Amino acid sequence: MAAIQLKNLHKRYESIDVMHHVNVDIEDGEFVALVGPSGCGKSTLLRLISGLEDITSGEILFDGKVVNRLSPAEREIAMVFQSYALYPHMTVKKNLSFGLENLNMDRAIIEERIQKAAKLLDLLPYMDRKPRALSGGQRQRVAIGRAIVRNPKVFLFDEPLSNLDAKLRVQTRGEITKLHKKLNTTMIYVTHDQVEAMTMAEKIVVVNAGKIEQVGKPLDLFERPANRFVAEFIGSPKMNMFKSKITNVSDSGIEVTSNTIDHFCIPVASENAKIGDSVTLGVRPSHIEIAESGIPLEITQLECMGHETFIYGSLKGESEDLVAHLPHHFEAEIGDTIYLRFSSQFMHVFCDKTDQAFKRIES
Amino acid sequence: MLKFLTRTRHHGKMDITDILSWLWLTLGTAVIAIPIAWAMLSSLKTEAEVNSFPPSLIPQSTVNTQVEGYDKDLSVWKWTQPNGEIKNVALVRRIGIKATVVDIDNPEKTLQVPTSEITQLKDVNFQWQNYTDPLERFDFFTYINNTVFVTVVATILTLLLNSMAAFALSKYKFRGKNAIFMLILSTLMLPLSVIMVPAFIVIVGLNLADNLWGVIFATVATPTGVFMLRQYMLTIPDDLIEAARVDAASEFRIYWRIVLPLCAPALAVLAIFSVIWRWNDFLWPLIVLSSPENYTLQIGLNAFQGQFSVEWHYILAMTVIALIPVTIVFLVLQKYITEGVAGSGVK
Amino acid sequence: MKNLSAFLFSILDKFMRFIELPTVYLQKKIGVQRMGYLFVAPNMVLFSLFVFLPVGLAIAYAFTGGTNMLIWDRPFIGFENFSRLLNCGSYMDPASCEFDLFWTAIHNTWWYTLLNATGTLVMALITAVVLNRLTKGKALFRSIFFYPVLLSPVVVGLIWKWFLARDGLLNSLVLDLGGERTIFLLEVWWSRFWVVYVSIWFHMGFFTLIILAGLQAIPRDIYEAAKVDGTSEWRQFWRITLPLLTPNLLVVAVLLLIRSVQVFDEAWVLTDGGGPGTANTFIVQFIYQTAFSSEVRLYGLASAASVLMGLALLALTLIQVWLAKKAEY
Ligand SMILES: Nc1ncnc2c1ncn2[C@@H]1O[C@H](COP(=O)(O)OP(=O)(O)OP(=O)(O)O)[C@@H](O)[C@H]1O
Ligand SMILES: [Mg+2]
Repeated sequence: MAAIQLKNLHKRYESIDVMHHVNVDIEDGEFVALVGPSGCGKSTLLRLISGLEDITSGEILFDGKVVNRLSPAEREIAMVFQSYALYPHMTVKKNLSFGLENLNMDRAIIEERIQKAAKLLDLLPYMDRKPRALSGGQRQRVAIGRAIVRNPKVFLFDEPLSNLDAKLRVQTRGEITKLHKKLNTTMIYVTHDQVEAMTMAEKIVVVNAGKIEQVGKPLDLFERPANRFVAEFIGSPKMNMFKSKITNVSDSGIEVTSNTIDHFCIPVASENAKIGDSVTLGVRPSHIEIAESGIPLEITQLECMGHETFIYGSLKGESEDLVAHLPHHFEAEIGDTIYLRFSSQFMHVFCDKTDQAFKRIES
Repeated sequence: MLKFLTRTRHHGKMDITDILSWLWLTLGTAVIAIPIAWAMLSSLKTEAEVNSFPPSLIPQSTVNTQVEGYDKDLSVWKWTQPNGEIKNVALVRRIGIKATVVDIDNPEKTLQVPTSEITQLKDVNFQWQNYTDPLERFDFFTYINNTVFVTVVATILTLLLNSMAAFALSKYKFRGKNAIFMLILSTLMLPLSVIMVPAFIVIVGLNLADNLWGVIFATVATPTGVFMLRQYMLTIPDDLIEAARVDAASEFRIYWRIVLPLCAPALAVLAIFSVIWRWNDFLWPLIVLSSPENYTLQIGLNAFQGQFSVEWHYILAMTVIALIPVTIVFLVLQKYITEGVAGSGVK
Repeated sequence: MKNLSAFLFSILDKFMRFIELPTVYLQKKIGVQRMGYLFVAPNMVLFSLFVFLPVGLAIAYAFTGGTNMLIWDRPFIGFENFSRLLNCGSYMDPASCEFDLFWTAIHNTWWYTLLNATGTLVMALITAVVLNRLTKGKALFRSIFFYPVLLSPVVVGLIWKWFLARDGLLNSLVLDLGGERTIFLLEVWWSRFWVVYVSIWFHMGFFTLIILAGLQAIPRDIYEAAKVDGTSEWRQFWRITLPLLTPNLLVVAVLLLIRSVQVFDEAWVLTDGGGPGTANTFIVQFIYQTAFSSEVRLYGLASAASVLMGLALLALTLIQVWLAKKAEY
């Protein structure tokens, strides 16, 4: 088990910088998810932590000790690859024992460890099969088993579930969470699926273009995104955004005006706000209410699931479509006009210059 | 068989193109097969028969028998008597058109018969001694030993060295990698015949002249092998190698325990080629080896045919020995060989 | 059996673990990625010794004279080797040259190359096209035609020497047909014919296979379309197959030239060292004899001849690379 610190971590491939001075603290035993769009550098970050890739500058510390020059084995990490990377020519048993044999461990201890892991992961019936004769889910479990037997200080997962079908993914998600509870080892988990990140992780690191956008608890990121990128990235469907302008600034918040709303006061810290600045307003689809009167919306598409409803429509004067999510059934027809109400305490304001969010005033 | 041969693209009718095609194939097969078959058949004939003209098709030998009252074995002849009766007799002597024969069943009585009435009896007889004699009386056993040694050792080294180089060129990032790869590729275009003189001088410098290791070392680093294995290794996912690194395997162990086993199919193809190349090598061993005890089979055979150019029964038997391993390999693995050649243009 | 192989494997494994030790140490020292150097090293050492160094030496020796083997015992003589090789009254007449054998070899090689390359190309093309038409038995015939390629030059030389011998099968056939007994390999023109013939017989299968691969790469639907139009098969060959195959054929043709120029092994065995006289003495044989089997070993002269041949081959290779690039578009 280990606490991990990344200090000013920088990585460059030939002439391209792919990690820009990253700082992250991970506590001992924590389950951390790395999320971000494709190509943002999640895998790179994971590989830097693992030691598979050399860092260009900065420091990686495990339990306060610099491990920059240590090999993956010396860092005592274990990794589960997206492709599982099982050795195709070895049986499941060999796959599990290979790493231990490389450490010149005693045969009896190896046997004991792989039996324990196999039992834990229900792999006992398949021990003498080659990976090719296993289903996707079984291979996945072997890959996890191969990590477990080594009793690593840190587990690293690189999108381990993306090759599974939807049902198995949900199930395995639960199993990994359980595993974490049981082993209590630090786990770093790369995913581009924010549902995975939100449901499994204790802490989420949002990466974008080689930079850390925000680090926080799942709900924190959802409720208090630090910038526009995080706001748009976390939450599904995406947060609705409108262009607007600051019309007034006061201690209790700032007042904005756009094509759809007029002199609307939002309770956010106003130190950095100036009248006339252009800002972007954000509101999550689930924070939109239907009302008798208010902002008119012409429905262009409707998705009724029975217990919830997604309404898509265009607002007058806005280029982008708006999405509203209602947690119940809603009767309407395409082409109908309905009226919406935004509540100010659920609205986010982002400065257009810096893309940073104005801090919420907590009541 | 006939139906199979006459099957065409357009069902039923054979047009002139089909007939010409089949003619070409049949003729080609005959042209290829006849000289080889002829050499094989001849290799089983007795010395006398090999040198007789016109030649007989099947290896035969005269039938001899022991007849009471005669020291030497007599040859058996078929006597067609004027009355049409046919009888086997043993020839004692022949003078002009008269032959003295004895009846095998009552040897006391000799007969005078015209030679036109008798024909010699021959038996199909494979002269296996042609194969065993040169092994015992000449150095062919040594030659074969040397060739097997060179073939086996060179093939093992080829597989090891070329796969190591291919591993480096497909799975590592280091400075000069591309330059090294281009250098290796360029050797593909440099034939031995251009550099044989200085290559021999290098061998002399290394004190490997007239030494089987001199034959081996110069041939084990093959650009073809490196290229072929590298192509194959590029299809092995890098994840696998990184997984092994995480699993505390050293780079050498990754090569030995992960990469080599996974390359087995490509290694097998290279092994087949290497065995054929080394077994057949001629020019290079001819240059390097000078004393008969170091000759490989090809060199020994060539020297033997120069020295004993009349002993065709031995020469041909050893020729067949030289072609048999390659033939067996081809019969068993023809699919891989033809596909390997068509795929990569190696020979 | 299983126990034995397991036992052998465990020994091998122990051995490899032993070899592994120093590499682990090295890996720690130089880092993982630079281990690539270690893995290419053995190959590169051998390439350097037996390819790169000889290339340099060939050029160096070409400018030295004398009969000593070691380069530092040899006097530098500039272009003398080359000028002596090229010293001719008329290049058309080898007898007028200082090294008449060299020029005889060049003439012989030239004619051999021309005939062998043309013959092989035509034969291989026809065979490939015929094989490509087959629906059944293709693999079988492909193997039959390829088989001679796998034989050794000595085996091929001896098989044919026997076939063409004074008392050989061919002479018996000739006599049966009312012809005259000929000692084929002792008559200048017959022997030249048979050297080319045997070469074609020997190597044709290889080129057939390559051309066949090219033929199979031509998309089927082009032929389907032609068939719908009612184009005859001959027309298809001239109008579709040949034009589409031409880039491939050019590459094959140059490859054939490169191989033909280096003729030696099977011709040497077949003709007992280039005979009758020097009727079948080729350049490689000239180099071989000059360096290895003459009374005085003229390494410099042989190297100069090698360099000249190397330059010719280099030119052909460059043409081939260029054509191959063009064939890929
Ligand atoms: N070996 C390399 N050489 C050069 N650039 C690289 C290399 N590996 C990765 N990159 C670049 O680094 C960036 C980050 O890649 P990375 O694989 O970490 O993305 P990712 O976040 O894992 O994406 P995905 O979700 O698609 O897996 C990409 O722009 C990629 O092109
Ligand atoms: Mg990734």
